[in-house]
Amino acid sequence: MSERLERLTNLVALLLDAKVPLTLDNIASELGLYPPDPENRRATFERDKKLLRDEGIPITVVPLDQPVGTSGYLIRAEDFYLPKIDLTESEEVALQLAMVSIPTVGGWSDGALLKLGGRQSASTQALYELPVAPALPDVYHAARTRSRLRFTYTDRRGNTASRTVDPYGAVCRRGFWYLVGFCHDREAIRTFRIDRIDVGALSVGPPGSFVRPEGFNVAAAITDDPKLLGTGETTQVLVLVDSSRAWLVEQERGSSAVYERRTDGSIVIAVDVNHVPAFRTWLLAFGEHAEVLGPVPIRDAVVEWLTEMAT
Amino acid sequence: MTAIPAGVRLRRLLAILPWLADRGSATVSEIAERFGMTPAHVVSDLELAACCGLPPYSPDELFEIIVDDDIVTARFSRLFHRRQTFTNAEAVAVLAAGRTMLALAESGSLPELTTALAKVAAALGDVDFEVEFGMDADQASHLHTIRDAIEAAVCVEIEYQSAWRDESTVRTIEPVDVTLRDRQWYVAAWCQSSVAWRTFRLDRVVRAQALSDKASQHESRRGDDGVQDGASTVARVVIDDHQRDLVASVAGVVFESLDNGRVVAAIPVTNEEWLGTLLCRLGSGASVVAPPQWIDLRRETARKVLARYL
Repeated sequence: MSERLERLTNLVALLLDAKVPLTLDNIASELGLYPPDPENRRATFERDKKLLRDEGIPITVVPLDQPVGTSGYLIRAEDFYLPKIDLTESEEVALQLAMVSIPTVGGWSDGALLKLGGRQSASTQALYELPVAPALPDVYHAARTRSRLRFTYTDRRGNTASRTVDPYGAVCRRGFWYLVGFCHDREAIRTFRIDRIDVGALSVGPPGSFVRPEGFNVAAAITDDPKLLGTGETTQVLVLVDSSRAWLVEQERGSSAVYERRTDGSIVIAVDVNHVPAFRTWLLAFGEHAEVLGPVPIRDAVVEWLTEMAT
Repeated sequence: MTAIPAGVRLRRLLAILPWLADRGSATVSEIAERFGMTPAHVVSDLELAACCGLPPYSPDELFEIIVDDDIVTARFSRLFHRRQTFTNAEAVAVLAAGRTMLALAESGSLPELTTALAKVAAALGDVDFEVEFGMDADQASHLHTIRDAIEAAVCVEIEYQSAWRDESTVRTIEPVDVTLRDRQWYVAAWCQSSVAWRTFRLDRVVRAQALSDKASQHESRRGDDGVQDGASTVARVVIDDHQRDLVASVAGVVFESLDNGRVVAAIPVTNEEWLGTLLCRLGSGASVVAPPQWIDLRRETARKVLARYL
């Protein structure tokens, strides 16, 4: 094992110091640590290359003319080193503390914490574990480099489709990460739950392939209300809510949505709906304490659903 | 010494080297603690690194690392003198952790973190990645009241709305912990009013006021991690896989996949009425398999709700 660590360390040093791409022959003769047999040597090198890539150290592969058909390798300094960040000591400590207090699920924080100089003290406890999703690093990378994303997405109804999206940013809300961007299939701003993106069927296009609208606010663009996630026309539905639940609904919808206050403490709330199943799910959480007053087609749809549930 | 994968050792080594380069020297034990290694591993890996360098690996081309008793001294001029860059996943972890920390703190209370994050974002390229907890101003203010009370070990009077028993109650609690679980903030406290440990949902706290009375029960809390307002019974409900979302936010729910692609959700239930409404929302595809008294609950609830319309 120590032999491999020595070889890897020297390999990184050599490729990082290289001014021109080095062939495997160059590397092997400089390092003197690769097996002499060509096949074995190539396999060992490929394993090392993969390990470095997994560790976030990308080796640049350059096709060479001389000798024809060979590849040259090097590590670009800009791919290896963190851009210079002049952190004061207290800023560094603040970042380390944040990493320890708010770790991600799956240990992404651990590697970052090491690079930031490790942990200050072993006693700090985690306050909250941030949820992650497999596609999140790619979404981050694409949003940062303005690269178009193509992926397979399964929506909440279980339908799977291919999407092409310009990622504007992401928000973690209520325990889920959402990607917000321009969807080329729908030709509109759309929100995607990142854990529903199939990371195996995701590709990141070339950088700089779109421009994010000036002043675009990702958090504000998320359609938070599933009752508005449909594709049809929006209908205003009036719902009578008993006094026992009125406070809850008013807190959720805001006082501006209160259409009428009745003397018994109940309220009539106006709800914008264009996705009836989502509205139904919302409504039924109040059980017998809420009733749709109108319009008639929506009231009928709820009665029909309840009749089915009751039999 | 147990074998540690070469990748892990390389990762640590490449983190230690620039840190050492910046510092000049450090003790073995400090390195061990910071980078989560045993002192023996620190010594063996750094001694190995001292034999590495650049061709022709003559003494002047080897890394200058001296391990002398407990002190490590190092000097690098060309390589590994700067930190290694973050992977995309690590960059997400840094930005999200920093922004979450800021979101949780009172505004303006973490100036170093604010400037540190701005520098990181500037260096990595700014990306709109936000973490939200959907807390309104009232909740944030209650949270601060309760946090301060925990620190000062004093009691808090809260008005608490029970969503399923049409009432709010005023209680005196001795809060010991505030936690975020998935989508909700919870306050763990000794409830003097019910003489029991209770967990309260922050969004149902209507009012919170710190009292001058000292809390007395702090030491006696032991490993009680359940989130509940009262005793619960577990309902086993068969649902479709895509319906998990509707149930996932229930505290303590456990899913179990069946061979036919469906899922059994074991749902802790403290209130029958609530379960009835959940079943109506899930639709006729979902069915209770246990306990027996709830097998017909969806129909009963639907009839009750339907009565409003007829």
